[in-house]
This record gives sequence, C-alpha cells and structure tokens, in this order.
Amino acid sequence: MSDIVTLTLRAPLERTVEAEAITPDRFQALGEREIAELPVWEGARQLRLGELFDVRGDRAARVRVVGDCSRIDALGAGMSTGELVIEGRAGRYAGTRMTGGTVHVAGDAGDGAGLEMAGGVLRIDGDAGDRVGGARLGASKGMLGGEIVVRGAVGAEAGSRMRRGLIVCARAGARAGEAMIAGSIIALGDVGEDPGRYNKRGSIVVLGAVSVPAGYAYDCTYEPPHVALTLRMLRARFGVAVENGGERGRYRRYSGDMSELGRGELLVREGA
Amino acid sequence: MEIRGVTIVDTFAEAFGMRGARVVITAHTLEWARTSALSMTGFSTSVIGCKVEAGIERTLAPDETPDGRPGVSVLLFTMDSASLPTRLIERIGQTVLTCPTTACFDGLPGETERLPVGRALRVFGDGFQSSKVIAGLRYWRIPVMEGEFLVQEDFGKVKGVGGGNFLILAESAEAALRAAEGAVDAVRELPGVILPFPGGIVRSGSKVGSKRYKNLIATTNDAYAPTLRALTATDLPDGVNAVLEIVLDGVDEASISAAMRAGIDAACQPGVRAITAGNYGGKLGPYHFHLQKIMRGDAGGGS
Repeated sequence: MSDIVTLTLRAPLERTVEAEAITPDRFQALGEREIAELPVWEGARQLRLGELFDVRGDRAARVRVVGDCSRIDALGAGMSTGELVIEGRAGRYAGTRMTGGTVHVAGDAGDGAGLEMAGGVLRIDGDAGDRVGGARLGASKGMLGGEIVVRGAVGAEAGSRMRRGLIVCARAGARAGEAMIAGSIIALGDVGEDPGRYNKRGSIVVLGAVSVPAGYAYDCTYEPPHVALTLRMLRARFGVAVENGGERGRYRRYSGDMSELGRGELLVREGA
Repeated sequence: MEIRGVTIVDTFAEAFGMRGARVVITAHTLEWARTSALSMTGFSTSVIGCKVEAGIERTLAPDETPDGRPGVSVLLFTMDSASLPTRLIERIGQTVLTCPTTACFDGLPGETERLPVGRALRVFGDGFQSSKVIAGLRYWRIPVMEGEFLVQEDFGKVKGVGGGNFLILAESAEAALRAAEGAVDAVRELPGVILPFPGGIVRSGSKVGSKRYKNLIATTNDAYAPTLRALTATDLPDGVNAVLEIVLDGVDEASISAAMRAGIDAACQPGVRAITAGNYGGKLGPYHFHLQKIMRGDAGGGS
C-alpha cells in the first residue's frame, strides 16, 4: 500500500481517450497491476490503462496524473472520495458527476468540467471550456452540489440548469447560468452576453462588467451579506483574492428572469 | 487560605447542568453588534424568572467572525434541551433580526446536536426568503426593509454548567462593590463563560424555597443579609456589612474554574474580609467548585 498512485503518460496522445477508470475510489482498492489493467476507451477500441500510463503505487486514495492530458476525457468522473491531481491540462468532462473528494487540474480543462457534479470540489488553475457545472444536452438538471473554482475564464453556458452548488471563475462566457434552477455563479471579472436567461432562483454575481439582460428588473443597490461571506470563504479555502475593493462591496441587484419565476438574481458590483 | 489578607473559605460552589448555545452577532460596526447583543441579553439574569440566562461572552475582531465584520459572541443557557431553541428563536427574532446591519451565526460549529433556529426564523420572509449553502453550511437570507438579514440555519447545542458562584464578604457596601467590579473586569473577556446578572453582580443572593411562603421557589439568602444578623442563623463573620455575589454560567467546568480563579483573585482587595460560595450541601448540583482548590490551581477545582 502506498500513499499515492502516480500515473505518468508514456507518450503524447494523438486521439481522444475516455478514462472514467481514473478515480481515487477505484484505485484505493486495487494493486498496481490491477490498476494498469483497468479499461480505457479510444473510440470503440478498448485499451488498458497501463498501455498509456506508467503506473506507480497502489491502494491509495490520492492519485497524481502527470503529462498532457488534454486528450483524456472524464478524469475523475463519478468519483466520491479521495484526491485526484492532474498536473497539467485535462480533457473534457473532468470531474463530471463527481459526488465527493477533490479534483485539482493544474492547467486548463476542456468542455463539460464538473458537468452534473453533485458534491466535492473541482479546482482548475487555468481556463475551462463550455458548460462548466452545466447539464448534458437534453438533461433537465446540471450541477446538483459541490464547488467548482476556476482561476481563469470559463466558456459559454457555465452552470446551465444547475440546481445547487457554487461556480467561481475569473470571467465567464456567454449565457452563463442559462436556465439555472438555483445555486450560485460568481464571476470575479466580466461576464459575456445574456447571463441568467430563464433563471428561476439562481444567483449570478458579477464583479466585472456585464450587460443586464432584458428579463431582469432593477431592485436596489446594497451590500448583500451572503456575497461577502462567500468571498471570504473563497479566500480562506482556495486562496481566491478579490481585487478592486475587497470582499465587501455594494451591488446593484436585479431580479429575473421575469419570463420564468423571477426569483433569481443578478448582482453586479458597483463601480465595475 | 488567605490571599492578600482575604480569607478564602474552605467551601465550594455547587452548580448545575444547563443547555447552552453560542450566538455570534456581527454588524456594520462593533457598536451595533453590541447594541443587538445587549438587547438579546436583557432580562436574562436567571432561569427562575427569565426562562433563560444569557450574557455577552466577548467581543470579536473582524478576522474572528464569519463575515469579516466586528462582532460579539453571546452565550445563552436554559435548564432543559426543549426550551433552548424556543428561547433562541424568540431572542434572535426580536433582537438581532430587528437590529440594523446585523447578521447572526452559530458559534459552536463543532457541536453535533443542532437546533434549527434560522430555519424557523426564515418564515419571516413570507416566502421571499432564500438560502445559500456556503462551505457546507446553509444560511437564510431574509429580506427586510434595510436589505437582507442573514442567519445561519442551525446552531450547536452544548451541555454547559450554570450556577458557578462566589460571594464577596466586605466591611462596607462600597468595598464589596469595588471588589465585585474588579472581579467582573477580570472575567469579562474570558472565553466560554458569562456573568448573567446586571453588570455581572448579584446583590440578592437567594436560598432554595421559603421559610414562610410555601409557593416560592427562591427567597432571600437571609444567612448573608447583614440587616438580619440578629434575627436569623447568620453566616456573616464579624465586621462584614455587605455581601455581593458573582454568578457564572459556562460551556464547561474548565471555563467556570478559570473564570472563578481570575475573579476571586481580583476581588481580594482592601475592605474585603472573606470569599465564600453558595451550595446546598452538595446534594443538588453535580458540579462542585472548591474555592481553595481553584485558587491553588488543583485540577481546575471542580469535582
């Protein structure tokens, strides 16, 4: 039994591989040879994990993946415990459907990071693609819980149809929080066009620039206590610092989307 | 035992188990947090008449509070588990929710037994309330005329100790008050303990029951009333003309012991003849705080 299992990519990948097998849950019950025998998929072709990675360590709930994994999808998918560190880029669907534990991507992540996750923490030090914490196409609910902290920008439709949980990013692309049911999205910088369309009860907090959509109506300018509390928590737990005035500040509050329940909110930092 | 010429009587304070909660009130300024806390802890001297005993535990710097604002921590105690959530809902609802700029947080996050206080208060929002889960804890956002009141969903419950006490026997009322004020100052910012009586001091110490009125559960402690020296079985030494009592409630025995030690030491001033304590012969309360053991620093002094 070792403290950590380390997977080192043997060579850069030319095709995309789906590797749902790479989760601490599985590894903590398996020996080194058994881990190497786990299946991964290159399209319809089944490969062994050991064909792609040099495997070191066994029976540990801490997993380290070394190498450019930008063509490896579904790292940490469905994991419920443990720690997965990807020391570079990750492909699509990192941490999708995870219910617990921590996934840390030291570089960028592809589309669908944290898609439909229900718990745990997903940290991405670089940028992330579209639909972070969102829903699969056609699915009724996106993220159901947990925290996604992206140091860089996220693509379009972050938090689409999310039901609970928190997404934090430096900047967000178009249609952030589309059809949000509840939960929170905090952008420390700018947000793209049409945020919170069809939002029911979700909160979208913007500390940068944003164009307020037509479905939102102005309420007041005030200091929302839960935002300061959340920003303070983010600094303490993830080292996320707020520039331009710190954690406390006044926000313009807009209720929307009025074409839905109108119980969602868009909070825009004053002076942004 | 003597400390600076003051006799420490070889006796003990007898205390009881209580149920307690710690409420952290933050506000835009420390003054408003204190204003709310003072309202919350008003009329909460004794469970006999107030149903709850409460007091300000200490002030909190912004870096000690959940939302980074100045705050005050308050301890509230009841005799039974069932009434504690009721008292919290009443007091937070009437004195924190109503007070400008405040927010209200649980101060006992490690306690597993939780009281759904914020969950009950949320209905003041009349359906417009909403909640946020932040770092695994749920908070209720209740819309009010000023903006929003934020209150944590649940509060921890602790098995505390109530009725720790000591009596200051002095030559004059002035000397007793001066010594008692010194004791209060020494205890005021110690963690885990409150002094629920006005200014932390009691002049009307009581005995259990009545010699004359059958329906009374507490009446004047005639053994320490100087005007009754000639009329009753007095416990007052010669030369003592005034007695004041310090009553302490705390989250555990260690907090009470530490506070009694600091308070008694500070009370040993000129004009004080002796320090003693109230007890019922050890038959009623499970916690016994032996004054001399406490002052010697022997294992906290409790038993």
